Amino acid sequence: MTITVKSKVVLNILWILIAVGFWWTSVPYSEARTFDPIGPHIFPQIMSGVIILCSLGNLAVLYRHSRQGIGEAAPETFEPANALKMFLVLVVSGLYIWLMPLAGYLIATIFLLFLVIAIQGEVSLKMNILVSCGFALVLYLIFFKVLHILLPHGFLEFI
Amino acid sequence: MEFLQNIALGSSVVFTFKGISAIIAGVVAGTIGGAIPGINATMTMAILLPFTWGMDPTVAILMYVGIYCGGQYGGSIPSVLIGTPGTPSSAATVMDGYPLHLQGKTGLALGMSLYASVFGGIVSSVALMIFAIPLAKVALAFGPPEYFALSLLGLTLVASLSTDVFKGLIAAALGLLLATIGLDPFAGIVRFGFGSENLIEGFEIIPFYMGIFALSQVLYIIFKKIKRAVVEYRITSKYPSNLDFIRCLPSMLIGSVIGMFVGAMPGAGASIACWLGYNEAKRWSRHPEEFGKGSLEGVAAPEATNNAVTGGAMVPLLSLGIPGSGSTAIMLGVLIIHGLRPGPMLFVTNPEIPYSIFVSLFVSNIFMIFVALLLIKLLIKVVNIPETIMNACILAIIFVGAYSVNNSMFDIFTVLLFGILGLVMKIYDYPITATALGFVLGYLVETNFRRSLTLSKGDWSIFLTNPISMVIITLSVLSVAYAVYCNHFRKKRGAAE
Repeated sequence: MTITVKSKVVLNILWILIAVGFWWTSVPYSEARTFDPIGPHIFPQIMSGVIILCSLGNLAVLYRHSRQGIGEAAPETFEPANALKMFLVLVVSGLYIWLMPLAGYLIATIFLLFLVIAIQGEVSLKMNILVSCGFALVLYLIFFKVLHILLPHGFLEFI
Repeated sequence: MEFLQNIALGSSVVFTFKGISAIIAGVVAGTIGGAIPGINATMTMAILLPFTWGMDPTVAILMYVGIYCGGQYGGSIPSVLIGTPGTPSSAATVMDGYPLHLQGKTGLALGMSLYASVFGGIVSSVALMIFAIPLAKVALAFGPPEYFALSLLGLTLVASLSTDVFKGLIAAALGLLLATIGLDPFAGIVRFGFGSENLIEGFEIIPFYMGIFALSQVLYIIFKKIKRAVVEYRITSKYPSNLDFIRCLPSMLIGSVIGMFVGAMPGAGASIACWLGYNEAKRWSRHPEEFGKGSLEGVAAPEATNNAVTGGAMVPLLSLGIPGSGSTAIMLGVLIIHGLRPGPMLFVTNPEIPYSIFVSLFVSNIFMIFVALLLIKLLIKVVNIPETIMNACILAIIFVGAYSVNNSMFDIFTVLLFGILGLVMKIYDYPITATALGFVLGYLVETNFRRSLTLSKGDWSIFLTNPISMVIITLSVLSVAYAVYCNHFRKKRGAAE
């Protein structure tokens, strides 16, 4: 599969929406004036304006190219299976955020490592378990014991 | 006399057990990071940010100088051994390094890449001292309009030098916009906080860097299923002789000079510099016909160039507080999280920082020889860890590192958010370095912009009546206009073809 022109159009529209969102949100800040002659709203609005103008410029270029039938030079290609793997890694990462306070750092990290390796494949189950448990323990010892970071213990708090 | 006293002060910081250990650890980590295709010095720096928590700022920055130097050299190892550049800055090394390896002259190619890297690094460390100190003295006289103009020039150059100027400007403006989230420095109100307590101070630098540089790259490797060839390390020939070194000296000098100047230019970076160095060395060589077929000069020139970039890139960072690349942006971040702000005042308030960087840049390059000669086989073992395991381990480091900033799950969420943003930008070819620079320079740009207008009582002509800021802003506008023209011209020519 390739990255289509349609998706580029969507991305530029998304930039415009984000910029408009920032612009619109910054309007009330104009009331917060101190000794500052321009206020806290002008700078974000200028940046939003730059994003809007450049996104419109991108859209104009895309439109002109599609009218003239100019193809993109070597468009980005990807395998849908790999895109799915990447999406699953993101889902697992999201689950990790939810799981860490409940199960504690060590268990959550073992879970994260095991699933991320399993999703990508190409590693035996034995090696996966060894790496997941070993590396999670190494990180736990470095951050908790050496760097004295208060990592969550979840239901293992009593230990 | 004052200079020598400050160099002695810098040396007293570097030549301690902590300082030397930090430099060695940095060179080792940087060499490993550089040697793994898909991971570069910037990503290595981003991954290791949380490990600097317990360190003194000077020790942390020494480690980062080591990573920077090691990372530039490390990229040449896979360039020579498997014909795949470890980093974009070692792409030109493949041209002659890999043919030399195929001819059975692996030791010659690896040795020359090491010597040239050290040569370029040492030359650039001397140049850093020569240029940074006077520039910092000049910059002491700068006021808010000049600082605003300089920051703007840095950002517009980064944006202009990207593949598409519109994309570059969007990326830079997005970074600046993200930097406005949180407490306003003038009015004391929270901007774009959306009622979240976590956004009162805005996004933290560490999770931002880890997300946009490191997580995005891990996701991109999975997305593109980037497979690495196994690196086999077998020395099949002798290392370069003194005669080889002398024969390549002109190429190394050409590369070093180009690397220093290109490195000092925001946005250009080592990936552009290495090709410039290669092409110029070929042009001035007595045997240009050998280039591309296994010329030793073809290895020496780009390797001297990409390591000379390190010193050049630190000139604007130290003297003006304006980083010109992803790596120096992270270094700026390291100093900021330790309560320091690079710039001309740093030479006055904390002279041990810039002067220890001068000394450590020199020392890092010397240590690179020992690391490369003694630990190379061990490093190759690390490089050959399957990417499946490497990706998962990096992911775990990124998350625990982000959590350790504030012991907060919100920072892991921040990493994820910017990881996705960085991934989208990579896929659609937006320069993430511009966003990172925008984010780290956001405070500087906005405060100086508003201070200037406060000084002029709201008169915007202050930026054009001040001669220095007028020249710099004109350069910024010209760089963008020229980039738009080039993009348009290139696309029109492409259309005609």
